[in-house]
Amino acid sequence: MGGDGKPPSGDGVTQSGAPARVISVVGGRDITAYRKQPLTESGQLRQAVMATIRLGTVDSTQPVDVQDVAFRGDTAYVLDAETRRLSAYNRAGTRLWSAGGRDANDGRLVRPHRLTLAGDTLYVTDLGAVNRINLFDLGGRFARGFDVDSEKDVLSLAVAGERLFVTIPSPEPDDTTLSVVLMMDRDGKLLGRGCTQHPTVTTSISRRGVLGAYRFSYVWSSGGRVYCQQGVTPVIQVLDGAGRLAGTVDRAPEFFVDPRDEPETTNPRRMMAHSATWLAPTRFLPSAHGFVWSFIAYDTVTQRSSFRLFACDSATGPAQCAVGETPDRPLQLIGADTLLLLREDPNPESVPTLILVRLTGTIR
Amino acid sequence: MNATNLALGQRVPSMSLTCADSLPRTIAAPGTSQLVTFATVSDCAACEAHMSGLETLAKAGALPVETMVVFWAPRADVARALRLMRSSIARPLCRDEHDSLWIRLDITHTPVTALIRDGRIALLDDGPLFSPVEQRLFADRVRRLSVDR
Repeated sequence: MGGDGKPPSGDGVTQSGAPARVISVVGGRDITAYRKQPLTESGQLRQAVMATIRLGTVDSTQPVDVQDVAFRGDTAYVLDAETRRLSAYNRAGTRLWSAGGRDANDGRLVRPHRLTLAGDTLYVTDLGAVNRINLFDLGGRFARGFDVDSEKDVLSLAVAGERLFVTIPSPEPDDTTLSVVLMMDRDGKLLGRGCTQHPTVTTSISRRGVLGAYRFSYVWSSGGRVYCQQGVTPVIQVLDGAGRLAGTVDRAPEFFVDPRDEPETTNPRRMMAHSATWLAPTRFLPSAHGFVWSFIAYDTVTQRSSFRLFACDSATGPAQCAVGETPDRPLQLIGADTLLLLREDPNPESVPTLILVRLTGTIR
Repeated sequence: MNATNLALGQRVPSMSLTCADSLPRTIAAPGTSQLVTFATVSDCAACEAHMSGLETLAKAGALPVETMVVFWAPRADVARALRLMRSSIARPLCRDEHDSLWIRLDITHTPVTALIRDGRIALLDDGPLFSPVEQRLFADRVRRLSVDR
C-alpha cells in the first residue's frame, strides 16, 4: 500500500488484500492496445525436424492424455492426466522412471495439469487437488508438497529467482486482477498480486458472457522475468523478479482476430463453434532471444485444431518477426530456436510423440 | 441439479447412435425406457463421483433399464476420447455422428444423466453417487419412474 493509502496500481502490483480495481492503464502502459506486426514475404517461419521421440510403447503405463512436458538435455519429463503420472523418457523413448499415480502415498496426483522445471526441481500443479503443488527431483523422487494460499485451482506456475508466480481464477466475480500470486521462499506464502485482467473479460463476467471463461491465464518465465498471458488478448504484461511491471509485449501477428463475446455456455459443440471464430493464444514461450507464441485455430468442418506460430527476435524492442503453422501442439522453446511439439495421433493404438524442430526465419 | 438446459418432460428426438461396441442403438425409441448419461472427456474432476456411481450400479445389475453414455468429442479426436473413457466406463459408449442431440437439446453442464421414457425425460440427475445409500436411492427412483403409469 502506498503512503497515500491508495493501491499502487501504477507498478502492476498490489499488496496482498488490497482491493482490486478495473484499470486498463498499468504503470503508464495501456494493456488493451496492441499493434499488428506487418510481415513481408520473408517473414515465413521454416521448420526442420531435428528429432522425434515416441513416448514408450502401447501398454497400461503409456501416457494417454499428455498435459505438459518439460525437456532438458536428453530427458523429457511428461505429465499425463490419464495415468496421473509424471514420467521421464530418454531420447530413445525409453521410460526412465515414473512418479505420482493414483495410489501413491507421497506425491499422489489427481488431475495433474501443468509441469514446470526450474533448477533441479519439477513442479506439478494439480486441478484435482485444488491449491496443492507437488515437487519432484529429477530422479522422480517426491521432494515435498505445499498448499498455495488460495482456495482456487492453481492453473500455472513460473519460477523467477526465489519466487514462485502462479495463476488462479479470480476468487471473486468482480475481482479484476489476474490473480498472479507472488510467493516467497517457494513455500507458498503470499506476498502480493500482480498483472491486471483485461477489461473485456471483466465486462464479459458482469454480463455472463462466454469470454468470462478466459479470466484464467498463464505465466511464463525467462531470464528472471515473468510474462502474464491472457486468453483474449495478444498483450503480455511483463513483471520483473520482484513482481513490478517492467513492460508489455504489445505486438500481435497479422492473423490475430479479437474474440467476440456471446452468452455463456458449457455446451461443448457451441464452445467449439465460438472458438473457431478467433485464434486464442496458447503458449507464450520467451527466451533470451525473443519469443515464440502459439495460437490455436479450430476448423468446424473437420473439428480438428491446428496451431499458428508467431516468432520475434525481441520481446519488447524493435524486432524481426515471422509466422508459421503446425498441426502439433507447441510445448516448449529450447534455447533460442528449437521448438518442442507434441503429436497426438488420434489412432488409439499409437503413442504420443515429441518432435524437436529447428526454427529458421527471423529467430537467431 | 446444475444449470443444464435439459428439463423434465422434455421430448428427446429418436435417432440412431454409433456405439463403440458396434451394436446398433436408438436413443429415445418409442415405448422404451433408457438411462442415458451425456458426457465429454473433459467433464469436471468432481463429477467423477456421479460417473463412478453409475458404473457401480450398472455392473451390479441394479439398473432395471438399458443404460448408455452418449458422449461428445471433436470428430478428429473421437478415437482418443474413446480410449480415455473406456478406462473408467464399462457402459456402452455412443455418439450421434452429426452432433444433432448436442445442438438440438443444447446439452450443458455434463455429465448429466436422464431417464428417457417413451421419448421424454422422466428423471434428471447430476449429483454424486458415491455412497451405497446414494446409489440405492437413485436406483429406486429409476425403477419407480421407468415403468409406465
